[in-house]
Amino acid sequence: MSLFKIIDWGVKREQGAVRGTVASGFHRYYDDATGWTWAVDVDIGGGKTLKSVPVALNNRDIIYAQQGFPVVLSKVGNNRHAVSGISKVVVGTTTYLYVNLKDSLGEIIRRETRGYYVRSLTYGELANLGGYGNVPYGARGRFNAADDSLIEFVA
Amino acid sequence: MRDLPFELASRIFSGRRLPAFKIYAWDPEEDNYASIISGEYNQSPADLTPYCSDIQWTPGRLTFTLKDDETMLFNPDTGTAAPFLVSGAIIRLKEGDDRVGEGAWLWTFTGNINGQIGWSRSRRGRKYEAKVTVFSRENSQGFKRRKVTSPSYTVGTDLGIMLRDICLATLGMSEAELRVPPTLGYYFHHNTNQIVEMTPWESFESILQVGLQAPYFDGEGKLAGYRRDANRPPEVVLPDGHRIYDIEVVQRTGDATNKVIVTYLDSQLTEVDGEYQKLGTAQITTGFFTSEEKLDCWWSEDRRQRARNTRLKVIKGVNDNLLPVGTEKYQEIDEFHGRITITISSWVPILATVMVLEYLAAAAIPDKTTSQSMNTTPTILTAPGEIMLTAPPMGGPVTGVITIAPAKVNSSEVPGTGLTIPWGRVLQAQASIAIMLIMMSLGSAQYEVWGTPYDLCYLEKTVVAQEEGLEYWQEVELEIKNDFIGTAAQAEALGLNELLYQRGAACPRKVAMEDHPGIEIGDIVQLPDGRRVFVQDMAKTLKRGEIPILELTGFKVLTV
Repeated sequence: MSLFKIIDWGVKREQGAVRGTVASGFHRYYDDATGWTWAVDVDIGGGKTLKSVPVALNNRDIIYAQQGFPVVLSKVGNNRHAVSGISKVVVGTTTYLYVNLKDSLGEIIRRETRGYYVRSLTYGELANLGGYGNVPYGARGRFNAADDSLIEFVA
Repeated sequence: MRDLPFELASRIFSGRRLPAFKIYAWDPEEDNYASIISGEYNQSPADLTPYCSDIQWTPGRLTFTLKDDETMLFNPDTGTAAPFLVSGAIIRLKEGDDRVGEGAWLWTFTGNINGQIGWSRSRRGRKYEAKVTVFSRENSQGFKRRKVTSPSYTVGTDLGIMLRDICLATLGMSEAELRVPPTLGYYFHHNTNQIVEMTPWESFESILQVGLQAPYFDGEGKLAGYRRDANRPPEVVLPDGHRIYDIEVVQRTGDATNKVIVTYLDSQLTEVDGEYQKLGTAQITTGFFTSEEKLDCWWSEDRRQRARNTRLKVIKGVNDNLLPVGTEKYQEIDEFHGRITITISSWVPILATVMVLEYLAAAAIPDKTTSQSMNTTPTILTAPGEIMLTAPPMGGPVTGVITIAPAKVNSSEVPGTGLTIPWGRVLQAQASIAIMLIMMSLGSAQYEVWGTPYDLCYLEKTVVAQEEGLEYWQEVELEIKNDFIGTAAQAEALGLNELLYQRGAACPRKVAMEDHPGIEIGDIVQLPDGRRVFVQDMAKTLKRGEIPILELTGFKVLTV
């Protein structure tokens, strides 16, 4: 990899917006540069959560952002991010294909899915997970993509 | 691999070749690529072949020297051939065999001059020569610098249609300049698909990438695509007699890509939920004066917020007062709003009306007296009587006469003056109470609608194809982002294929062999010993009467 490629890669990463989902309620946060500001935790996928990301004030759409909603983070300098808007794209699952390149021509040895997804609970899950009658019809849950296990009820 | 005309192929593979070539130039003011490639040009091209020497060919660039003389034919300022060598002049190279008609030869290069050619006159050696460098079409800035925007295409449209439209409508190319098929066999999975502010070359790459292909311009100057999957039969199998001069395992010191990350947008919109929360409030004043009230409740001021599983929470209902006067219903109209309907029971206005009428009517009911009491009045009929009394002077009883006047007692019937309750008042009071009850039952009701807000988003999914057994610090990533990929199967195929391609590219090879004009970029060439090389680039030097040595640059195709 040439030095130019490394620089290009760095520049691209620097400019690129980061997507994530709001992982907490909005709270007041004191920043040395801007003083008191609103901030929120943002889950950027891969098990990483950015704590107390300041919210940019110039986008009215952000008032609709709330826990679980996808947002866009922009670089604001000093290697920090700010929530700059609502995203129409939410980070989904990641499928890992582990390939054998030594003994075969690209044989997939194992397949692994990471992340989570949200879906409505089936009738069976309504009965088994929450106790029949306790969880209303139409309830949705967040499931682990790897083993389809319930993480939490979301609605 | 280019199809060789039978006549030419039989000569090439006969073992007795008389290689020949021609270099032609076209004045760009007279004709363009479309007319030249289709063979319908208006001018006679300049045949530069007799003047050419030092001809270096690669698929991307053709350089040669033009030997000039005192006529200074190629002088860019004064030469008579200057219009054929200006910036934009189209130069083509044709290769074949002397014993075969030129019609059966192959166009192996088509490009244009970019900028100004070099021309020099040396007094010492009396040398007049021009240096010409011609770039293939894909290396022109028209494809790689300017940005284009395409129309939008809906789900189900073949990707080839978008590619063709960009070429024909946006770039002004003609059908004659396209070698890609009209349809690629891959379809858009998203509702809206568009190229926005991308260079044409990036657009071609994105579109063809879905089908594991990459774009290039072939020797004829036509846009084509080559397959990047190495797991396929070779296009060219060199026979035993084909001369292989050198095989070089090229030294390579860089890290090989061992992890390919393909990011794409899932074609299905997914719902992203917020927290269960209060979406809106409603307040109403209602009562006997209305029969039905409808309140529309939106989840946001701008009416764009979506929500599901909405429920009505009654803070203060219409029946929370003295009388149950109506019913409250809630209905979720759509994902943006719901409707609260308050229906006042029909007996309420009817009863209120009847009671008012009763009240009025009761006011006109007369009281009935039923008392039998007598009124007695004594009346003196004559003058009052006299009292004449005489007391003796010395004491003794008083004597006298008392005269009483005759009197009479009159008796008459009069109404009673005791306690009584008029019927009318009682009826009025009853009507009044009923009216007041009804009035007291009206009031303001307050409601809240709770639910789960959500939004529709595209799900950005990722497929990572990586070599098994890598430590974190060993990973060398290649990121691919393509929004035209809509399914996991496509993304997995691309990731796996690109990993194999990159893994193979880490094993570069160079092969010097007898020229084979049919070989193109992207071909897999099988050497006589069975080894295979994926061709990434080529180069050769053309000399008159010599079979060129073709230098293939590529990588070893991985086999089990």
